Amino acid sequence: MEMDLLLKEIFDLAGSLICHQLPERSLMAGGLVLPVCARDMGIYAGIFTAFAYLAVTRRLGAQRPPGLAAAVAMTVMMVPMMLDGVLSYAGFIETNNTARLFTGLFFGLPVPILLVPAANFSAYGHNDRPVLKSWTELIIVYGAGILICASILHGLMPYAAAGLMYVTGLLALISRIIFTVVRRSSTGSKWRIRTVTVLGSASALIFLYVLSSYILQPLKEMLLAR
Amino acid sequence: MDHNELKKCGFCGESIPANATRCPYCASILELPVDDSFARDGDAGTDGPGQEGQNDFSTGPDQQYYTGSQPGYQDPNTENRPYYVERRQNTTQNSGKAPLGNGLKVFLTLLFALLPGIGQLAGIITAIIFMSSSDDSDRRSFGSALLVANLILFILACLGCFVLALIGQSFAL
Repeated sequence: MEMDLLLKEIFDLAGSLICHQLPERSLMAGGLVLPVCARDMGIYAGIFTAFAYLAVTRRLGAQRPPGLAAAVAMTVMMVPMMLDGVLSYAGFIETNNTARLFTGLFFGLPVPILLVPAANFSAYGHNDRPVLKSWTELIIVYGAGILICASILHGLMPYAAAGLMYVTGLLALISRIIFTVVRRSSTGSKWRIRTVTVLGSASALIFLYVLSSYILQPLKEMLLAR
Repeated sequence: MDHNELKKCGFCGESIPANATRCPYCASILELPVDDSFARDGDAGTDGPGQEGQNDFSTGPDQQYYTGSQPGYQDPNTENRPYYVERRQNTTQNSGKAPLGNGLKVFLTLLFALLPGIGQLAGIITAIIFMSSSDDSDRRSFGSALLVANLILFILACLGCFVLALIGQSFAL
């Protein structure tokens, strides 16, 4: 139990970087409130699932983006989260944690699938390695994401696993974005690119910490005080 | 060579000095000086039959691309090799298709950047279309840049909207 509380402190700190962490909009696991709200949990569960699939299938170096039909399908499935967020913040609809979780998942899943070839694509080469080989693979990734989110929603996933998934997803996303920018704009060796990526990711985390300390957390306290 | 002599840029189609190595209009690299020692040290021992001459700038569009990821090709210096080498080998590859105008590129980039959310999604789809142009390096290059820009803008736009919404909610009552 003490271990869980220690983990909760660490995960809550990581969660405070990007999330308001309002308890009524967050899910529970093992009697503890998850480190981020349901929508963010869905987003980072999706990012984690897609990155994990690409890592397991050794596609983190893939060069060719998904086909047009798959890209359109994935981007269309990102729209519900935008609508859910905008319309509920504007007061037009009432949303709930289930909708937040699953719309967030469909938003997060395509990000790694598009981000990986964005870094490796060569305008002058053959781009032999596709990020996804078939629709079946896309269905597998989405199916795995849905199963993970269903287990979170029903409290079947342990708190530590859910928190670790969020932290891994956040770190993978930040480092991959920085890597992509550096890779596309730098002419250095691989080691130089890796070093710049690590330094850039650390800087991004510091920026998020400052943003959270001076904007997010004061706003959260205002909301909680009402 | 006569300094008034002109040639057409293979990327944007503008008339440029014949001895230019970089297009002054679109900034595309047309030629880079060959570092022979680099080519000798890095590739001499590994190029098999048929791969000779692929470092030449005279490489025509019908010749095979050299990407370092070809089956059977092992580059012992991959770890230390700068990424620009790959580009250097292939800058002369282009199709007969008319390249995208700079104005159109700027217009598309601005359009996708200025419409939060939907603009970036449309940008991602457009980028995939350009990246799928099988024989046009200009469109493919623009497509990959558009994809990176729209993905990052999309994530930043979502973060910005979220912070704005939270600010709005905090001061609503």
